[in-house]
Amino acid sequence: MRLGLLFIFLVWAPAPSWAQVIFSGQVQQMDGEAIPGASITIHDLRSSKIVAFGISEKSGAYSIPCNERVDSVLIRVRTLGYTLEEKRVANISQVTIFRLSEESIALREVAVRPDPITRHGDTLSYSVDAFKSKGDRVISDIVGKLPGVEVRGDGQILYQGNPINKYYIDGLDLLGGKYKLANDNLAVDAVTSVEVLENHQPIRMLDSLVFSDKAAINIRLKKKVTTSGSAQVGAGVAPMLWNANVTPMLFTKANQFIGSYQSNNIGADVAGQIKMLSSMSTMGRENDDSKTDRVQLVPIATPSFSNTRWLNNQAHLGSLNYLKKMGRDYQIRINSSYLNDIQKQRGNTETVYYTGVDTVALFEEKYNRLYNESLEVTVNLERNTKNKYLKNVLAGKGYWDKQTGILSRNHVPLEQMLRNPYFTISNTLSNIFKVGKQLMTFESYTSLNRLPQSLAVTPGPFSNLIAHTDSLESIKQHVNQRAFYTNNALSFTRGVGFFTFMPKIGFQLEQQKMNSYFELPHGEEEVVLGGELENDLNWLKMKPYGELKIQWKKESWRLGLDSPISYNIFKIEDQALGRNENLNKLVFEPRFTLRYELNSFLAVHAAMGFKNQFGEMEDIHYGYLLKNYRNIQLRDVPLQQSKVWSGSTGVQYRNPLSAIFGSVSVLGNYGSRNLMYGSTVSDEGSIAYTAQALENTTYGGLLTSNFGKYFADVKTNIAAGATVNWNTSQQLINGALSQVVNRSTSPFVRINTNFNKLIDFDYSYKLNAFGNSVAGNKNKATVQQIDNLKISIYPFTGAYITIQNDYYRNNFGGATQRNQIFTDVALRYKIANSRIELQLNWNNVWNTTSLSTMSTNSFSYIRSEYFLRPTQVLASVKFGW
Amino acid sequence: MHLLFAIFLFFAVDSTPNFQVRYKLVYQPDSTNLNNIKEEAFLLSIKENKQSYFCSEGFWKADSIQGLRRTGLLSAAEYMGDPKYRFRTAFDKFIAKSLETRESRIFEKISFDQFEFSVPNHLKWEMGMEEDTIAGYACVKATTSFAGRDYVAWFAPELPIPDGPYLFWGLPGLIVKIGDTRNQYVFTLERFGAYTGVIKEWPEYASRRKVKEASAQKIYEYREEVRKDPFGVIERRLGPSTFNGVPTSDPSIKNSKAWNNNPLELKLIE
Repeated sequence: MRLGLLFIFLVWAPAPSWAQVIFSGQVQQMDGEAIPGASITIHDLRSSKIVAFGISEKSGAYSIPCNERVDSVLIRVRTLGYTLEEKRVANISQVTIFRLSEESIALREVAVRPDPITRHGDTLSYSVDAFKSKGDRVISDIVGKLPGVEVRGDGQILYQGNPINKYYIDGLDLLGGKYKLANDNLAVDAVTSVEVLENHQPIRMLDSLVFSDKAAINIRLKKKVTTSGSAQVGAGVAPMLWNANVTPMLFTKANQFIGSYQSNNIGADVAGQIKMLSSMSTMGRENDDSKTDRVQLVPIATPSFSNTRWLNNQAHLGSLNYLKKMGRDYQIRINSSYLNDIQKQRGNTETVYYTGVDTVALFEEKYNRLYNESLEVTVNLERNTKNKYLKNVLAGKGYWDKQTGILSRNHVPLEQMLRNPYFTISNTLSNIFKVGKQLMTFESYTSLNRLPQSLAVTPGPFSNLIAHTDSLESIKQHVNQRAFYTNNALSFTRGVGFFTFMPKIGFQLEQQKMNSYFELPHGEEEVVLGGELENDLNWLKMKPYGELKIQWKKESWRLGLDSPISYNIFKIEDQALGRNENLNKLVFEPRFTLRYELNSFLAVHAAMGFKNQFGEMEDIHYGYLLKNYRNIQLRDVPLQQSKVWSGSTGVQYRNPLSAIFGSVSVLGNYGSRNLMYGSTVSDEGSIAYTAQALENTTYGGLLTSNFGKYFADVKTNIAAGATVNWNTSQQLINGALSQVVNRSTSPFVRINTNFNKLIDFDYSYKLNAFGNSVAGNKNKATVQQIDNLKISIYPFTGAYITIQNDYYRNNFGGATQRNQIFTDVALRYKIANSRIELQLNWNNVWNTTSLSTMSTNSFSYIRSEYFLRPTQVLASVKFGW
Repeated sequence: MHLLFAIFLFFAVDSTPNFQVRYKLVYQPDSTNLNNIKEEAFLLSIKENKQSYFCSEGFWKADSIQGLRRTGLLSAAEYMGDPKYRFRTAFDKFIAKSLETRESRIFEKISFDQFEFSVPNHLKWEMGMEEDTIAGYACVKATTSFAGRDYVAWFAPELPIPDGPYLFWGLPGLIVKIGDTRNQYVFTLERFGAYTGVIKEWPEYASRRKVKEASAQKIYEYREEVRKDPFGVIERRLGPSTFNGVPTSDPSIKNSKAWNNNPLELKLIE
């Protein structure tokens, strides 16, 4: 009985309060017609958050279940074109009919401006539209403005202070490191964004195995097929001037072509367009294969600013570059260039040598003519995929250079005639292949060089030394050098967990011959030249080596340890002079690197290493060699060995969201050398080098820093930084051992802004301060300040005026020089609805015709006056597409 | 972050105006490669809050060019001669949605064929508690699952248009941002405003002769077949062919599209 009552009681217990509630009803116009597609939202009264919602059907009906445990809710009905209605109700099932009256709506419109800099993974993308200002024509105008990116005078691009390792256009590397040609000629309008690929590993097979701390640039074009280019012809006066540039380009998915013919005599440097600015090869000679002249004219120190102010040239450059993607992932690329340039230099030089005891002074007036002619052809075959890597580069270069110089030294006239040609051919092969599951790399580099040079000087210097006579009409130094070099290595890469191991073994062989002799004018043949006046040097270097590179990569840490070990065998011999040297040495040069990314913006790096280097063939010759008219050297010295311990550390910050980029790095080194070079300076200013086996040390430090921030709302970029360099070493000067200390400080600031549609400013300030002391005697410091201000005005559509001002203030050793100001004015007008642009340039408005510069090294100070290009006017027509 | 230009526009109109939304899609077509990120712009046109039309900007432009060609305003020579007339898109799709009846009609071009089909609208949204300001609008979070991915959406109640990009709709406000939980497909609103231009209600491409009706399942299967082996499909239709001089059966060509392994619709829409 009681059980039964209990049961009935339970059945009659009230239902739980959280039964499902359903809000239903209709949404109608005032006249009862249904409103479909209206939003009905149920809000918690206290938090006003949406707890349930529904959309009205075609019939206007809605039915919204709600499971929230609240007492009351707000029902809100909202739709376009009608008033907003809401009703507070209790949280129980009910039916509500909403009647909405028509109302004109005000919906907030929004247009989001895309970020100028965006980041995906390791790629930073800079939108060209955001950084472009009206006067920008070619992509190099923009690259220099991008925060974090810097373009050097020679066209080399740096990211966060480090040179880029590749310059791609739509993912293809057409110019192989000689990217100035594309950077200076590719139209800005063809480019959609400039990407920086951080930590770029160009070899795809090694992508996740070998870490790279270098960045690459990829220019993204707007269209799949881009033809771009420009043709420009200009003529002007004071005296007859010309400037022509025709650079057609074609970029498609499988082919890329850049051709260029450039010619001018306005001082624009065309050779720089084909200069190698980034090189991937690690197998080349320890010094690269570039030209090292054995005999030279005494150069005139050229000004450190823009070539167009001082370079007197007549240059012609032709360049053809073609890349084709072939089947089976192969790519072939042919790059060729021909340069012909006649340059004239005029200036005078005052040289003061400090010997720690007294000073020797020399005054020279110089006029040099350089005839440069060179041809370069490179054929590159490459296959770079995730599973295969093969690259073979065959390169040939020939230089048919000559120079003539007329000099007046302490008012005594002198003529120099130099023939300094150079020929080289080289082949580089890299192949990465799989043996079983193992990745193996084979690399080989082979080159052949020939250097047949001569220097003739009238009247002949060092007549007593060479011909045992008081005066000589002329002397001609002949030098011939031949070299064969090969470096071959086999390595493999193996990843084990977080480690990557790269052991390598290789063999390097360098065989060079140098012979030199003097040629006297007719009538002096009976003088016997021989003995120490001739060189017949054989140089053989063999170096088997092994190396183990270990990289550890985990999350944000990257550590690297490199331990190369080599056995260096040198055989240096001059049979005729009966002098030789044999050296065998085992060398170990470890290096440790570290990189830690604290977060996506901040990274820290550090490195420590030891290097043991040997001298080059140019350092030793047992007979005399006349290097230039006042420098004859005999270097009967042992092979130089230097040991350097170095350490560095730094911080890098890059925040694309706030567009702030910065880096600071500190480097210290300590070195010791086995030889102390001494020089004896005669009263005529000639130098004889000797060396003693005397251990000497050098140590120093370098601090570099730069910061940049881009303010997108005012389109302004500010960059600042400083370099501080200090080092101390021991030198033998006129027989006395002296301590030499060099210090230099170079801060800079740069602001560029285009906040106003009509006017842009670009201002930079740079200070270079040098000081040194020899044997405790502090020499007067020199300070150079350079202000650059460029103003660009856009008065009306198609017109563009730029005024560039450079202001130099020099203070050499306490004596203030005359300050110099240079101004250039350029007017550009683009004819509406055409691709033609007219340009008028007026350079050196104030007609400043000479500039003084100075340079110091450990024991001398050189002040040069250089004759500049006078005021000139040039009119050009440019057609771009 | 983003800089916004917000313009308040008040206008008295007799009928409900049309709106156009521009979305930017950032996506990762290769699930193994985080560095291969692509972008595309899309347009969602809303007609009188009753119908909406969605396609990529590239599709819109290419389709309009087709329209000009069909009416003879653009000659074949001009079209072939100037690359500025050639627009490309990775999304050859046009989606027409009826906000009243909740039905959709989709046009899609896959390989050689054109299809027209409809997908069921069974999207179930879970309301979230979080709020945020995105693109200048106060947004509320909602989540759902669609075609094999889980999505997080942010909608703006102040824009009472129950629509969004692609086939995401049915929230009590315009979807301002929607992305999958793995961040491989993210649509973000870039522009919203009244639109007085001509709205494209169906692609000009769709010529009556060529368009085939099919079921959503058949479309999905065919699309996946083409995605996995595009050159195989061409070979089966036309016979053996070559690409850049190399036969398409060669592994280097056959696998050249292996990066395209992460489509938006991973599974058939339920």
